[in-house]
Amino acid sequence: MSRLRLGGAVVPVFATLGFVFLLVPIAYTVLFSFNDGGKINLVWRGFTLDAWRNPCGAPRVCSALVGSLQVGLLSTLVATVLGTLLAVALVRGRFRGRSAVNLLVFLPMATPEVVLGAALVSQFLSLRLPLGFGTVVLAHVMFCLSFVVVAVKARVATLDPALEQAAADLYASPWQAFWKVTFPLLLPGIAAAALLAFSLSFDDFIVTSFTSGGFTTFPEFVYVSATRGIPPQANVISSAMFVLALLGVVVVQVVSRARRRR
Amino acid sequence: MVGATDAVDAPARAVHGAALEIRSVTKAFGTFVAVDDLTLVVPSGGFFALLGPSGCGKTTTLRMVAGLERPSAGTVSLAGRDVTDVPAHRRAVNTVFQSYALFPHLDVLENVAFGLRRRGARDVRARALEALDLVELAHLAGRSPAQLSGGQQQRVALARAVVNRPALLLLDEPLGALDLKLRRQMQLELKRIQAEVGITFVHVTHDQEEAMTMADTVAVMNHGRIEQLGAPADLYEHPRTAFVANFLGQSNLVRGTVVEHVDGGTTLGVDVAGTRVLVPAARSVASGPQVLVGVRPEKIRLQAADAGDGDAADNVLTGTVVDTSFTGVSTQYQVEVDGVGTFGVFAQNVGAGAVHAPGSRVRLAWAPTFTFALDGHEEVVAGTVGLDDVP
Amino acid sequence: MSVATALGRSAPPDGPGAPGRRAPTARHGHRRLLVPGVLYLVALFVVPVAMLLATSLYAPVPGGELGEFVPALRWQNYTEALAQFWPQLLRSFAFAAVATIATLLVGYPMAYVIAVRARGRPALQGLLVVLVVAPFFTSFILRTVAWKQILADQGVVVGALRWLHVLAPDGRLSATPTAVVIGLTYSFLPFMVLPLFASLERLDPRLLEAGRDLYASPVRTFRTVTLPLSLPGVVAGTLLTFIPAVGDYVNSSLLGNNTTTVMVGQVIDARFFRVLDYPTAAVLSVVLMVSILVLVTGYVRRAGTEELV
Repeated sequence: MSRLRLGGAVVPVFATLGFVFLLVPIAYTVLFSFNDGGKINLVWRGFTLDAWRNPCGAPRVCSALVGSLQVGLLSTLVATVLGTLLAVALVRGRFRGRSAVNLLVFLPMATPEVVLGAALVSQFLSLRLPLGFGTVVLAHVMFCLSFVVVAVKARVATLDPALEQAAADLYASPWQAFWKVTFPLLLPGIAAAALLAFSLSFDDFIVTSFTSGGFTTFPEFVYVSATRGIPPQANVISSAMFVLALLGVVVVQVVSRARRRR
Repeated sequence: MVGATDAVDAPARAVHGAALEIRSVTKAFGTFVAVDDLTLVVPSGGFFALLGPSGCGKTTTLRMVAGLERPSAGTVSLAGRDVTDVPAHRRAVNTVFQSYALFPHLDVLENVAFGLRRRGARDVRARALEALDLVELAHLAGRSPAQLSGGQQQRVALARAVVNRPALLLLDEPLGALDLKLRRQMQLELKRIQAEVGITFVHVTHDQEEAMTMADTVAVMNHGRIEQLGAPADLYEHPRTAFVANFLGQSNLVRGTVVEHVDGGTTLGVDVAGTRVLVPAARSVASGPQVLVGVRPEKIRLQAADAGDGDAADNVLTGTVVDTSFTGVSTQYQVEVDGVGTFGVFAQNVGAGAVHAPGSRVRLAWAPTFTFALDGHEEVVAGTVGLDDVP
Repeated sequence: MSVATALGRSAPPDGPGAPGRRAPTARHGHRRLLVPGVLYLVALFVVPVAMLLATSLYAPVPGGELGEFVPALRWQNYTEALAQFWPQLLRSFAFAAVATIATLLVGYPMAYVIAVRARGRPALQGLLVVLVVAPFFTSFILRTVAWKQILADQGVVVGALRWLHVLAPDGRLSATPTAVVIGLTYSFLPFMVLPLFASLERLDPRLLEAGRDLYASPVRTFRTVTLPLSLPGVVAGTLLTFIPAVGDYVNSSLLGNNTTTVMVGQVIDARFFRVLDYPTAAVLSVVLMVSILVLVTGYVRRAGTEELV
């Protein structure tokens, strides 16, 4: 009996250690956003709210942040639209070459970012495209597309095909059937996919560093500052995003649970 | 409910003649032939049932009429117009799906109004409420489908189809998910609505009782083809294949050979395991001397083997009772008939006559006019279900 | 009204050219939806990768400047690059493999707790899943830099390890392969936990009950019931961890040194931007991609899961 209880405790203990492991660096990041360590911020010197009160104080922090947001929003929009159309076609359509398209969608996910970055920048260079905001967006849309397709496909698969047939039976053209029936029911899945795409884009470093030229995103700024010393403002922004995202997820969970109960 | 339809959106309606005509339609999925050279004419204005076991191709046929599947060959015509190449959303046909397929993100009223809105009809709200009145669910117009019971969802699905006044209404096993009492109620409801609205209903089902209860005309399908078509009583009393004989109700079928023609050729004398059985020639569809003789269990009277009375004109076989089951309304016997096999007999519970216990010797007697004969090439067990059969 | 004749007649042959046959419908509507997405992927994935393949065979302009190359079929590029950089390639695969195994060992209990132990308590499950996903919401670079500080020589962690004699008195963690592997393990932990969680969540608890009902001990039940059924999650998780780990260079450049921890990703980046040696960078990229594809196909086939995507 006691052996069972001990065995029963082993897994949760390991799991807790795992969660601690997961959260320690985040705690560290949040902690050091309150550090009075000057621009270098390597050693703990004291508690201060300076960085929080002046989040754009360090040079180029906020411009990098804005850059990341712009890229993120635009890439998310394009990737979500293209990916949703692809997902619907892949699940509903019956055509030859479906497995080929599935493979095409899967390949970018199976390719390391260095390879993607190198390939894209070779292409851009050979086309003499100037590296900057545009090329970053093009690159981000590409690798987000696959993830959007996978996320939306999962949702489309749960959709009863009889619903779209019923729509056709009730005089809806394929276009109308999509907008009036399929799309509203897919919306939660599309929203989740968009969120995934945005977080992938916002946090991306490797592909971005290959394709951005002079344009700076937030992760790039942090990486470049790593040798010189990362200003606490970067920690502030990161912590703020963390809290915002956490709140967002919690709110969505609470709302959906309340709606389900009604 | 009575009244002229809007001239603007009146669908093609057959005033006389056939509502639906299927000619030589075949549907193959790869190497599997679901519907095999099917030809069918459904007259307008009535309640038509397409009856058959699972996998016989009836749902596929329905979907081809709705436009949700395209035939591999053949044509589909509605009110005389060839619609084979017309996509589903442009056919004046509506379907009540087996799973109801109500749109979960719309409330009941918007579900019913869906077809009207797509066609740009006027007075959408009023007409949708009218349809909901017809199925007595107007008070639930604001609910979402998830809040309705199975029976209510089914009625909403019906209203959603009927409101469009289609030339043809297709019902794909709509009562399958309902429990028995509710199903009976809905069968009568559907009949009532069809009579009131006057649209041609084509009802697909595997439940032969349901088909016979509701339909004016029944077509029995098997393996992608129509076995027999006619009024329920006609199919029941005059089956032309063993499948129909066994699928509709129950039949006792036994092999025999025609040995004589009597009464100026109007009656056949058939030798069944040494006993002579009379069959009216008009009720025989056999082409040669080898026949399958059949009689329904409820037509047979059981008498004790040593009882004196008996009509000399009856067909008579003797056997031993093997099983007796009391079902309230009737007593069902399994009798091992000498030299033939097992016969089923249904004795209505009218309180008269002794119950025959298992093991007793009995006489099975029935009037010759109740006998029918099928072609000897038929399978005795066609249309029956065994324990090893794939569901 | 014609009626079908008796049974026993075989179906007519279903071949082309038979009179009256119509070709089956192609779902044209759905095919049209594919076009924009497929075009985009072709233009921005297939073509660049093809371009990369081509670049890997380019030859330097004789007597030309740095970064000048001409289209050619210089197959020696491959042998030269591999001869020079095979240690880094091998190291990348080794680090990634170790990190993947570590991630699996750390992540499985976490996924198990969320999916099985917290079943029936959706609030707790929700919280735990959010905690797993939380790292995504902070900057990847910042987290890695945080590790650099945490594993610094003067830091608490190293001090404790020295005191426990796990590390030698002058041992260090920063700028070591160990630090890089720790970083890799950390970076991809959510990618391991989430698929495992999804797989374990679908596990029917009645199967575990059946195991107990048939006298299996908890360990046996795990080995014979839980583990095999969670295999799709394990496969997905290991792939989602291993593939990005092989090509990673953030961890190795921030947490490692210039000699014993250099991974192929760093080499590709350096060759591309610092030395402008495009063909070599392309060769290494191609080799990386091909070896991953080969490994993945072999692995997936052995693991038996067909539909990954």
